[in-house]
Parts: sequence; structure tokens; C-alpha cells
Amino acid sequence: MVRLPLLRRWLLVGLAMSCVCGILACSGAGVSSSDQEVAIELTTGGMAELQQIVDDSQGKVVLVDFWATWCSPCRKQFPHTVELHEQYADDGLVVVSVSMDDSEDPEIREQVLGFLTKMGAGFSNLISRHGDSQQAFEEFDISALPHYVLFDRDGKRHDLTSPDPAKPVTTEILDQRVAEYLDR
Amino acid sequence: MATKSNLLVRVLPAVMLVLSVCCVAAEYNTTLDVGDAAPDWGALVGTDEETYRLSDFGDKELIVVVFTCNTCPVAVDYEGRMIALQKDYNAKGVQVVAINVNTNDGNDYEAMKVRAAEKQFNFPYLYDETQQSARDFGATVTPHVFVLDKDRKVAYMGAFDDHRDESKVENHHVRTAIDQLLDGKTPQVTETRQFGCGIKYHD
Repeated sequence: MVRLPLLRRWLLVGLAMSCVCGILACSGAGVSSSDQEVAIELTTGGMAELQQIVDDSQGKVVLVDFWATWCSPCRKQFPHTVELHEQYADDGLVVVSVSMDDSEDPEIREQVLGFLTKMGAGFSNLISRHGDSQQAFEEFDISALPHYVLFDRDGKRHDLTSPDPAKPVTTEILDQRVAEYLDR
Repeated sequence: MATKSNLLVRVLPAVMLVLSVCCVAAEYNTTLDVGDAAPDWGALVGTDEETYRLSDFGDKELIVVVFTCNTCPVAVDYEGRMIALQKDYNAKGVQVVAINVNTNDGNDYEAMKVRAAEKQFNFPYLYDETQQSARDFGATVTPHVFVLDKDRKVAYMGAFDDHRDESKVENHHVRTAIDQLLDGKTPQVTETRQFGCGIKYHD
């Protein structure tokens, strides 16, 4: 008779504790998710818009990540681009992403924005005005995805290649080149 | 002295002109130029388990070599256009030959057989795990197209057409080049920028 209420009391305490913990956990998660939720904007553009960003970033190093939702190596390496942004923004690195997806298709735009939001791409994000046409690749002077370009502090363009130009640029090469241009 | 320098003045520009003409690299291909002899890919096995050599197509007017693969969404979008090209130009002696040099997931020989059967490819789909053919052609992306003339010289190289979305194509580069070649003319456009997924070359 006496034991039961005691047990109940403990149960209540336990319940209360777990509730408090749950609330704390929830609020904790809430804070971190709102921290990560950077307002991502997607701007339709071409070389002129990209050049404008480079011009506005005078004295800084600009890293451009050309990617597309259909390019699986691009998606795989994108988190690394976000890391570089977080790591080197204070050292003068400006990161820009250019999606070579079809900018006129609202569904694809949603996919692009969804991916960028998930990645936490808190930098300038362009989507190619001419979609994934030959003209778009021509305009940006690129052929294959993924593709990375660095503009040095003087605004000069350097297309990143691996030691064997036929091979893709790895995150290691990306790290080396970014560090190299930031030190200049 | 005067005549010697005069000679230099006269000859030097000519020499420079010859040098510049002979050694101008292609705009989008660092290995091969238009007019170069097509590299011989040796003997490659197709999804039909037959072996194909370039010399096997001796009776064909033109050969359209397409470096493609199973997994690149851009290349996949062009499969239908390759089938249509073979169908439309078959009677005119045009032969499409597709080569896959990627060996990553989804690009093995068995997967290629499945794709060829599913899509009912009406052209050979060859597997080159050594990747040498693509290196010799200077192919960088899938799809990357090379039209070879009757002498098996490169007559056109680059993109199949100017838009991945078939409904938006304005310039049918490959078809136009083929039409002009079949008319006995040199294609007006011999090289355009290839675009797509980078070929995954081995170390």
C-alpha cells in the first residue's frame, strides 16, 4: 500500500525528468537547426553575374564550384566546398556555386535550392541562365562537371586541373590550390 | 647583309605562317585535331560479344564514334538521338560506334549489356576498360562525338548538338556535319565545345 505511491512518485519524477530532458534536447536541436538554416538564395545568371561577384570581391580569392543536380561527383564533393567557405571566409575566400541545371524548370530549381539548403551553402549561388545547354558551357568556358575555378586576389582566372588533366580535381587538390592562392 | 636581312624579312613570315598553320591545336581537344587520322582502337568487344576494329567498317562512308557511358545523365539523354541517327542514316552508309571507357559503378560490361538490350541499341556498344581509345581521341566527357570521313580522318568533333534537352536543340552539329560530308563538302563547323560528365580516367 505504501510502496505503490512511492513507486508512483518515483515514476512521476522519472517522467518529469525525461520530459525536461526531452524539452532540453528538443530546444537544443531547435537552436542548432536554426543556426544551420542559412537563408539560401538562388540567382539566375551567367558569366556577367559571376564576373560581377568577382569584381565585388576585389582583393579576395574567389572559388567557383560548377555543379549540377545530375552530377553525382559534384554532389559528393559539394560539402567540401561548404567546408572551405566556413574555414577560409575570414581569410578572404569568397565561394560561389554555379548550378548548370535547367533554370527555366521550376521543379529543377526547387531541387537545386533544396540541395543547397541541405548543404548549408551560405554563399552566392547562381543557376545557369542557359540551363545545361552547350551555350551555357560555352559562356562559362567549361566542358565537364565537376569543375572548379579560382580567381586570385587580382581577379585573374585559374581553372583547376589535376596533374593529369584528364582526371578530375580532388578535394585534396582543391585544398592545396585554395591555400596557395590565399597565401599569395 | 642587306639582302640577307631582306631575305629574313621575306622568309620569316612565311615560316611563321606555316608553323602556325601546322601546329594550331584544336580549340577544345588537346590531343587530336580536325583532319588528323582517327586513332585505331585495336579490337574492342561489344555488348553483343562480337569484337570490333575500326577496319571492320571499311565499307561505311562515315563513322560516328561516340564516347558515352551508362551512368552520366547527359550521355543517357543522348542515347535516343544516337539510335535515331543510326536509323535515319543507315542507308547512307553512316555507322555509329559507341565506346564506354568508364569503369566505375554501373559501367561494367554486364551493365552495358543490360542497357544495350533495354534501349535496343542499333549500333555496337564497345567496352574499353583500358581507356586507351578515349585517351587517343582526347575525349574528355560523355558524350563526346567524333565524325570520321571516308579516309577515316576526323571531320567533326565535339558535342552531338547544342542542347541536352532535345526539344530545345537549335543546331544539330553532328547531323549537319554528316549531311555536308555526304554531299562531298567539308563541314562548315568542324569543332564545337563538348559538354557533359568528365570521363573518369584511371591513375
